[in-house]
Amino acid sequence: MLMVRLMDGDRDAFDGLFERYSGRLRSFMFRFVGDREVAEDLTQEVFLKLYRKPRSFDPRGRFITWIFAVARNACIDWLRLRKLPVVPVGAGGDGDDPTLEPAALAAYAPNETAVHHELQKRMQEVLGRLSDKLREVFVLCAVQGMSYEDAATVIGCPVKTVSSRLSRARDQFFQSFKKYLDASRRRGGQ
Amino acid sequence: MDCQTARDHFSRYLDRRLLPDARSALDAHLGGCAACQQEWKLYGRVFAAVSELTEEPELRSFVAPREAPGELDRRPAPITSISWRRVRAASAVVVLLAISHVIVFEFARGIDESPGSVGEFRADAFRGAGLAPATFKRRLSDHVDATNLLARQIAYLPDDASDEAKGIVEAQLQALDTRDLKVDFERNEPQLGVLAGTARLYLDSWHQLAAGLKDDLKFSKAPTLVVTMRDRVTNSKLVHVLRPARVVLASEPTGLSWREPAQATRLFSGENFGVSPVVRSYLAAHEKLLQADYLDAARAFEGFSQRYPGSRLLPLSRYLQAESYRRVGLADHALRVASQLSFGRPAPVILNNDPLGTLVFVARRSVQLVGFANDAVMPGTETRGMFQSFAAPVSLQWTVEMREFGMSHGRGGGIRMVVRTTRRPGAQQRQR
Repeated sequence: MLMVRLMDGDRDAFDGLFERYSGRLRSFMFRFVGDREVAEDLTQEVFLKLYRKPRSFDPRGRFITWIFAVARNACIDWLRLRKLPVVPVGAGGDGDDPTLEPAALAAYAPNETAVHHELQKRMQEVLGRLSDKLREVFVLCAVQGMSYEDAATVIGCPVKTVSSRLSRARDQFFQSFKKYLDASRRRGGQ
Repeated sequence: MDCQTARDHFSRYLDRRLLPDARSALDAHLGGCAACQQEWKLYGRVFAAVSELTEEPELRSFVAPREAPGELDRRPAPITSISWRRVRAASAVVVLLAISHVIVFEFARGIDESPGSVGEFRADAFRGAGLAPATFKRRLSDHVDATNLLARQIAYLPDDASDEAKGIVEAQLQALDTRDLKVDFERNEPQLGVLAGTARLYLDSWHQLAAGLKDDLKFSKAPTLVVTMRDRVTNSKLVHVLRPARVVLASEPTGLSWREPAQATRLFSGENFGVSPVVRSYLAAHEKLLQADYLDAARAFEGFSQRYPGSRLLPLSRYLQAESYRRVGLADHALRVASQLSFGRPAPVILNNDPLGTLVFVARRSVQLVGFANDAVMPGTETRGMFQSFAAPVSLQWTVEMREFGMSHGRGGGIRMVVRTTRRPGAQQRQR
């Protein structure tokens, strides 16, 4: 186990953990705080904490939920302390110009860069409108694919709460996204 | 199923979290409602796309500090190299051995007193003229804890413990006599306020408790022990009023006999300690505990346990390590260490008045309370907030199931207690 080796001061183990989890964590934090640079800084902060205090991890628990919990706390602290609103990425500029066709979505494939980029942009915009509580569940489960149980551990709430928050978050996201698709369709028809 | 309900189920349907009945109903609805079917298709596509979204891979590389990982982490190294099963097997044997050689029951001095030598048994721990109320409270608190520990020690004695082992415990019990404490109490009573009533109750009933414990030693102790401890000690509720005592139990066979007055004095004075490197190492950790350097003590006990995994002091070392963590509120660490303790027999738990006993109890998740009478904990009840004095984000709730066991073996049967631990919402994450 990498984490156990890290607790013994193994630098290679740390590198292994960074390689394996930093991308996912940064992605999670970016969705949570809505700012790529901040997410990058927070990722560094989380891993610095891990580097300096590996023994704050309880080996009886699961590393993945623990590190996500640390990341989540870092995000909440940042949002709270800076008192900054979540700024949707891509807001302003061409962000107000819906160009993604419903047909494009139907044919969506991850490699289609333009659609991907558009969807990213829209998603962050919609995410910015969700409350913190809904957004964190949404990002953990719907984006990161985490199980309800793990998300409950990360957040520190019952599984049922995760389920209902996720349902509400998806609903809000879906309704908002549909509005955008409708607007896009109308534009396409003009 | 109407359309709104169907759409409310989409999220759980997508994650295959719907119960079979709801899933069938939704399937049936989608089969007959074109609008919902279309909505569901779009819903599925949107969230499939969302789940495929990935960040670009470029990430700043980590700028590592100069020190090695964890070098500045003052927490003790995790206990990962010891197999729990091995510890359990070893400690079951070791504890029984250790218990039969328990020789010293030691009381730490108060903070405002000058430090004493390690291992010194303060036979006059509960004596003194003109004590300040604060000092009296502390001594009273020490007394309660000492009695608790002794009661637990008696409970851990194997049924076939030698007379000598039982005698040692009995001698400790005698050393806890409350006569002098009562004198101090009377001198201080006017200044004790609301504590006075509780203290009087405790002091008045202590001899009865001691007599009960002595009976337990002589006869079949288990069935009455839980009742005795709970009724006489727990009900005193002193733990809610008084600060935790710093009571330390030390153990190592010395070959001295408590039956010989001169030798017994030496046993209790601790003169004979420090004869081996093992004991010296243990006492070094012990001294830190006495001086209330709890974090250092925990690290020293960890060091001892790593160095001498075969020592019969190992369980005590682990126990005191957990206790040290508990004192500074490091509940997670305390639980981790306590979870390695095994007493080889069902551990009696003094609810509410025995933080570390409770800790072990929590770590083990379940325990058998031996004995029928247990009216303090009603079957099916749930109680919370047991760890209020724990200064840690742990709250405990327990439910009790009446489940008879052992009846066919003529041992009187008992109550199985099932414990579930929970954390205060959000506490776990926030403390990191």
